[in-house]
Amino acid sequence: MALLRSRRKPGLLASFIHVDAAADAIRALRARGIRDLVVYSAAPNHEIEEALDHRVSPVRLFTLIGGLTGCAAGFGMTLWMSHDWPVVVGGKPIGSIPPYVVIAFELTILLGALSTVAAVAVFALGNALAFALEALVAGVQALRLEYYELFSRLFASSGRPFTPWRVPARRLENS
Amino acid sequence: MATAAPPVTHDGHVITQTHADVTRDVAGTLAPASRGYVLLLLGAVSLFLIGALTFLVLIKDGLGHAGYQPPIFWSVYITTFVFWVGIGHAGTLISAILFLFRSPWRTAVYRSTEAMTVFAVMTAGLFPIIHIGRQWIFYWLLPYPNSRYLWPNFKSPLLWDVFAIGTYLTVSTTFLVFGLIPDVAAVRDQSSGWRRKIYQLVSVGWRGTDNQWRHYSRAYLYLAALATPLVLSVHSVVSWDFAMGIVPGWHGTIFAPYFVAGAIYSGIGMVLTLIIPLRRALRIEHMIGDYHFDNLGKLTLLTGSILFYAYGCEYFVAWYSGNIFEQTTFFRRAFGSYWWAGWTMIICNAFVSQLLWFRKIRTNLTSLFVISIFINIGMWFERFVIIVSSLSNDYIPWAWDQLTPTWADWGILAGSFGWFGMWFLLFAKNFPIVAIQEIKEMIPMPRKRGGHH
Repeated sequence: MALLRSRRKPGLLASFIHVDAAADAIRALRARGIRDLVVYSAAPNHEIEEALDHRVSPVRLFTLIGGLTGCAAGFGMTLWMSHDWPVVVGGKPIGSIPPYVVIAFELTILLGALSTVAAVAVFALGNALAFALEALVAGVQALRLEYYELFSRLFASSGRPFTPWRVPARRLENS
Repeated sequence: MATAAPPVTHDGHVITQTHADVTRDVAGTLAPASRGYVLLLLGAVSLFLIGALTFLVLIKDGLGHAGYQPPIFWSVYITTFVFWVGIGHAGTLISAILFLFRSPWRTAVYRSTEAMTVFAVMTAGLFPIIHIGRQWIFYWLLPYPNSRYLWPNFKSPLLWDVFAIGTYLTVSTTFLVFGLIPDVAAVRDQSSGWRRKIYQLVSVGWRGTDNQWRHYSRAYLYLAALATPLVLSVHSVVSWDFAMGIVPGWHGTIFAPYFVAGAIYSGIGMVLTLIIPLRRALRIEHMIGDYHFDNLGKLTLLTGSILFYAYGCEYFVAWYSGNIFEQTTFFRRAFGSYWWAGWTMIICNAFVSQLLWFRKIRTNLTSLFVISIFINIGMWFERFVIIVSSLSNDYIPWAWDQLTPTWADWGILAGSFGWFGMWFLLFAKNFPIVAIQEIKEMIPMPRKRGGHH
């Protein structure tokens, strides 16, 4: 096990043989307000987890959202497709819930499991999407300011030669 | 080191290894292959080639070669499909369900059983495609927007199967690869060349930091919690392929639990068949010992006894229903033209498993290996009996007929064992077949103040 402070700033690397000694060191560092420490270990360990006192991993949120999405997609897909091309099979209603539970269940598990693992990708893609939207909003706003607020006020389509804009003091005097 | 006595699990198993031992021993399994391994692999590949060749002939000429004729249109391919899906179930039981139960004996065996699951389901998935006849349009099974806006029939159990098997293959592969991350990282640091490149890719930058463990442990827990209901559902859905039909011998409410118990029983049989030679070939006898085989034997006994009950229940319900078709079907299973298949199934599954009441037999590897072969044969015949004997004597005695499996059936069956064995052998030699990280987790870390936390 080793404790390592993050790079750039002078850091400290310590290696421990005893797990309780490592946990004591983590608690002592945290008591002194040092938060950016990284603990390396060959296997997860409860004592170290308790000393670090992290929040529960947010991965559970991804499992939940994935599972609910799968369930909704399962029922939505089967019901919509049944009604999109209605064929009576075996005298059952067009949209029969009991057999569709199987499909919805399987998709709940599928999307729940995949989104648990894809949480990293979702984080990355979500952030990329947020960046892209932010850039789009800023870009649209810049263009709007440029063309609508400034350009259209000053641009006349009659084809006058370009004259640099200045405070129209003389015209004010004339009128 | 403050710990004087070696640590003991709650059910009395003594752990004698240290962290360094585990990494060294498991990394040792990745050493260059022995001659025996190469011969086994060659055998598997040649079996697979036999299957591939048979498949090519089937694609060219059609399923007539497989002896399909009225009234029997489901035969050896569907039998083998159910057989391989069932094999997979023991792996998920051991890797996911026993993880939630915190069974200490699962850690040494779960990686190999989980790999078995993935490859067994991969094998099973080929069979519906072989069976449909026009294999090149198998994607018609999936709901995809097509020019006529035709959608699949979601009320059909065959379509449920598409979703169940597809989900099972995806989720069990995800579970296996996800569980491999820390272990591959452990062997990555001692490897070189192209293997190191692959391990670097698979271990996705794993360093074992506190945050990595925090997210990883949680995610693993949720994957196990999702895989648990999945494994129970998959064989239930497979059983409904039959139970939803009104064929005598198929239309029973007991089918879902009966099939799930049978699946786990057959899977543990295959686990034993694979692990007993594997532990010697990879020199990990000290990691998988009597303790593990004893527990695997108990699990086999439990599921075998459930099967015994289900067989009895089926016969009782057939008699008690007063339905002449049901009664005739079950009478003919024991005394009709398929009596040999019926008795093979009952003797191999219900009776042979009862030998495992004795601890001496559970911990004797030779007897366990022989029993595991009986289980494999018996469980293949169970599906053969359910499918073929029910179809061969339907409601109209005029239409009754016999099925004789042909060379095309045996060729594909042999090919499936080759395909499965090829993947399993390649995996066992190239990835850590024993879960390094979970065994390390069981070994208490040394403490200055001594005692247990």
